[in-house]
Amino acid sequence: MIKKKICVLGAFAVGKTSLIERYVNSVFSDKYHTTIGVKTDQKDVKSGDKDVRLIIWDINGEDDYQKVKPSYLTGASGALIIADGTRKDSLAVAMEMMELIKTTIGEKPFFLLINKSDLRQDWEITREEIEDLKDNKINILITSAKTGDNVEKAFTELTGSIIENDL
Amino acid sequence: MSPKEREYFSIVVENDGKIIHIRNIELNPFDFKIRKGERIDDIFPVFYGMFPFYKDELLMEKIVFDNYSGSIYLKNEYDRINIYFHSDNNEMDRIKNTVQRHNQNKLISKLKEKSEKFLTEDILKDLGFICLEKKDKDYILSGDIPQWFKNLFPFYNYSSVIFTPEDIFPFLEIFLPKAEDLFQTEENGYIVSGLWTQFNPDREEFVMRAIALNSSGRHYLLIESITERNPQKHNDLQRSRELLLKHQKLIRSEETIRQLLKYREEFISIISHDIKSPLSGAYSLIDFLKSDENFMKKFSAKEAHLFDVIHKNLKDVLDYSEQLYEWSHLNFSDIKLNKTDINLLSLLIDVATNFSDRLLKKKVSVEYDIAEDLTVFVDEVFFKNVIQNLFTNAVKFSYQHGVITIKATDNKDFITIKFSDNGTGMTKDVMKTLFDYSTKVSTKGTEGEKGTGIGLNIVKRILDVHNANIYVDSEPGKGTTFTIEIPKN
Repeated sequence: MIKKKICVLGAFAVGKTSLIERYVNSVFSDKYHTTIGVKTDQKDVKSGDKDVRLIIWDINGEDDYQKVKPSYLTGASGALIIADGTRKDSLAVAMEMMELIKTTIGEKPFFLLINKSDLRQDWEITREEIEDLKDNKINILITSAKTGDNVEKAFTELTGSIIENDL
Repeated sequence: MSPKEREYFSIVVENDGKIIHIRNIELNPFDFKIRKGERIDDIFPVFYGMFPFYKDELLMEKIVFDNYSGSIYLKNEYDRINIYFHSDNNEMDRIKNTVQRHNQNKLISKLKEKSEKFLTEDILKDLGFICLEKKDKDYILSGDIPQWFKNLFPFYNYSSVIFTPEDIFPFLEIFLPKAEDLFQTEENGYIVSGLWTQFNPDREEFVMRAIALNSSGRHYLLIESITERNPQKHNDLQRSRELLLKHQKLIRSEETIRQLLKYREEFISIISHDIKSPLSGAYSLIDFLKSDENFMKKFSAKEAHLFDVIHKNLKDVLDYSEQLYEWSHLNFSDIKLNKTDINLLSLLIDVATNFSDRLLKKKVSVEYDIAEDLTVFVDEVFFKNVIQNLFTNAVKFSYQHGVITIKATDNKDFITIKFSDNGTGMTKDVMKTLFDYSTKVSTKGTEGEKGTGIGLNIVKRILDVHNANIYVDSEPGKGTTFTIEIPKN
């Protein structure tokens, strides 16, 4: 079994922990519970013919009170960067995280997840902004930890990209 | 962290960041001297951009710079900012003291043989650490396994004392290289990791941190669970973020409501304006036909009555659309008043003249108790609308031979106008929602007169923009008095 570390990053309360909970344990809670430091979790998956143990690093949300330590990204094979569709400012933080990844671990596969698609009527991030990001070759998925939309797909596609990147 | 409970090393700065005082110098966690007069952000770049400090307080947790690791708490007290440093070193002091105490006890009890291990099982049990000693390339379990570890890994295989820390605690993957660097130095010292959380099979959370320790040529990796001690810090951050989320949500809701209100008022304005012209045309046409005697002679009395009904109903709808149009334009953020001194009695008599037909029909008399030279400083057009609405109301709810009394007094700072009738009056429940535009309830008058239900809301809006007050006093069966207070300036 090969081990791969993936980091989950983004502004606070965008749903990082909820997405991981949904992926690892298939559960969801509406209650916001802030993460201090790092939460590590793992899941064994199959990617093609390879058995992979994903070591998932749920890194504290970035804001004035907590900053992401670049050292947390060391050894990561890829990342999921999360933004909250209902909070435009979370997209700016996601952009900073993308830069942080590039400067810390280099050109590793990552996906930008615009989370909370179940609250689409409250979205501040527009379709045009998402299209612009896609035009810039950023892999984007619209997810919902609440309904599970695209959550499995996000982790599966990232794992696939990581394995492909290794070849 | 509560600075009142314990003494911390603290620095007092002015709002611009200039250091004016240093407290508890003996607890200074830094290996250099801090001087008054210097700027705090020159010494500690972590504060760069934070001064002038506009917040009441700020807690920065898990701050790491130079050799410092810990929390920093800023408290603004009358533009002097107290900065408290809560170093994690305190935790190391706790460990050191415990180790020291146990070693001293050993000496006292004359257990002179050199211990195999620097840290005894007793000590480890006291501290709640899992202790791994680095020997060659391996981490060897030293001492007892704490209960929290057993709870976190209930199925752990203890067959070997050799541990691979990063396999058990993935977070250590980034800490161990730093620990190795420390172990290479062979100097006594320690480093503390950041916090991390892991789950046991029942999804219970365990918050942990690690300490790498060089002591007397031995190298230790200590891991402790701080799940029990963590809640307060965790709660503070949780609360501040929840408040921030609520605040952001309120701002968004406010903006949405503002846009909806604007849209609604624009919509009503357009509709009421556009409907006014055709209604006015139809009303004028019926009015013209009704005044043509030759034309009307062609109709029977019943048919002529139908003309009257159409004429009256058109007038009601026209009045209503005019009121709506007026109401939708009373967006007071945009309104510009043209205030002048207006003779109150003249204005009242002028408005009452417009009501002469209705007053005559109900045989209602109007009595004035107002000084002839009394003036009010108002916008004449808007204020006339107020008086018209009050007259409409008073006449509507007056019985035959009723009396409307209007009294005005000149007080020191404002003019008080009391507008009373001895009509039907109203209940307290009706009074409560009288000026509320969200409850547009129209009550029929004593002779079945209809209203729009928004007249008194218009009155309230106009008086609000004049900074004037309006009160209502009423009793069912006895009548109603509206009291208006208009500021003199």
